[in-house]
Amino acid sequence: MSQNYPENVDFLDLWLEKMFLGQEFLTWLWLASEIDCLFPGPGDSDVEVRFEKRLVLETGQGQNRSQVVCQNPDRDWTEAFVALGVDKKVVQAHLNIRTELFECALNLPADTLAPQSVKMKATAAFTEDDEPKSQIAKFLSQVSLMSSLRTILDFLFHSFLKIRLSNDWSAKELPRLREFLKPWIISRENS
Amino acid sequence: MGLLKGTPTISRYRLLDAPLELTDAFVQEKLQRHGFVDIETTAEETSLGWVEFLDPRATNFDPHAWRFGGFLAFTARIDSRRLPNKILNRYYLIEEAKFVAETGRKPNAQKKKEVKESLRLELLRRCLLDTDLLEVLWFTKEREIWLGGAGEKKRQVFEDLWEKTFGLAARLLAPITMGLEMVTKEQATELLKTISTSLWED
Repeated sequence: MSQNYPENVDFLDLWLEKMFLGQEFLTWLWLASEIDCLFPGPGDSDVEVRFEKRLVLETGQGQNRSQVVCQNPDRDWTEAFVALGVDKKVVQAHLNIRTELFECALNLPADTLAPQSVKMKATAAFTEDDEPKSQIAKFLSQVSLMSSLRTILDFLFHSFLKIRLSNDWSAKELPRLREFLKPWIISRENS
Repeated sequence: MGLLKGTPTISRYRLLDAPLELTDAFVQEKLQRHGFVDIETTAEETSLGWVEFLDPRATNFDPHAWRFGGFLAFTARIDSRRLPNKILNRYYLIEEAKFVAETGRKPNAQKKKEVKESLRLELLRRCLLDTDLLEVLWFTKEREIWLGGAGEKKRQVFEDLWEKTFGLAARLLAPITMGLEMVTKEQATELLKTISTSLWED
C-alpha cells in the first residue's frame, strides 16, 4: 500500500514539504465545482460538490503567513476569488457533497483531507423505513456512510492527481480555471 | 466529535505492517493489558487506557464488544484532574500560618515541600475528573485506522497508546501519503518532484 513511499524520508518532513498538495486540491475542487458542480464519481455515479458558507485561504509560512477567512452563506465568493489573485490557496473549506446514497456537509482541512464535523442527511434513496433503530444499527449505518464519503473524497483527490501530474494541467486545466476567474482578477492582468 | 454520536471528525492512519496474528485472543489480550484503570478514588492526575466502544466503563473486551464485521472498534479513555496552583497556594498559606502559630517560625524549604506535596495529594482527591474518549475504528482488510477526533494533542495520545498496545507502526494519512498510495511508480516519482505552483504560472 505504501510501496511508493521514499526510503529514509521522515514523514513529518515530507508532510510539511508537500503540504501544498492538499491546498492545491481544495483550490482546484472549489474552482472546478464553481464551473460545474457535477464530478464523475466511483463507478458510473455522479457526485455533486458545492463549497458553502466558509472558505479559508492562505499564502506564505511563519511570519510571512497571510490568511483570509470568507464567510458567505450566499456563496458570494468575490473576496475569495480576489485572494486567489495574490496567490492565496484554500486551506480549509466547508462543503456539501451529494450522491445517490447520501448528502453530507463537512469541513475539509488541506493538511490532512480528513473529514471534520460531518453532518449526514437522508436522501431520496434513503427512506424513513431504512432508518436504523438501535444504537449499534445507527453506528453501523454511520460507519457505512462515512466509508462511502471516504471513497468519494479519495476518488476526487485521485482525479485531481491524475490531472495535476499530466500535461493537461498546464495545457488545459490552468487555462480553464484562469478563464473562469477573469472577471475577478482584472487588476492582476492589468498590472 | 466522535464516531458514535453527533457530527464525526476523523483522522486517518495507515498501518505499515500487518500483524502476524490478528486472532480474537491476540486483540483481547492486548486491549486488556492496556485497559483503562479507574482513578476515581485515588489522587492520580491522569489515567489512559482502552475501554469498550459501546460502554466506556467496561474493560472486559469480549470479542463481540469490539468486532463489528469488517472492522474493530474500541475507545481510548483519558481521565484527568487538574489542581490549579492558585488553589494549592491558598491552602498552603493556611497551613503555613498554623505552623508559624505553633512553632513561632516559618517552615524551612524541606518542610514547605513536604506540606505542599501532602496538600497536593489531599486536594487532588477532591478534584473532579474530566473524561475524554477517543474512538478508534480499525479496518483490518484496508489496514486503515480512524481516530474519532483531530488535533495534534489527541493524535499524539492515540499514537502513543496504539504503539504501546499493539507495537504496530501507524502513519497518519496526509495528502502526500494518500497520493503515493494512489498513483503508479512512475507517477510517484513525478509526485515527489512536484513543487507548489501558482494558478498563474504554467
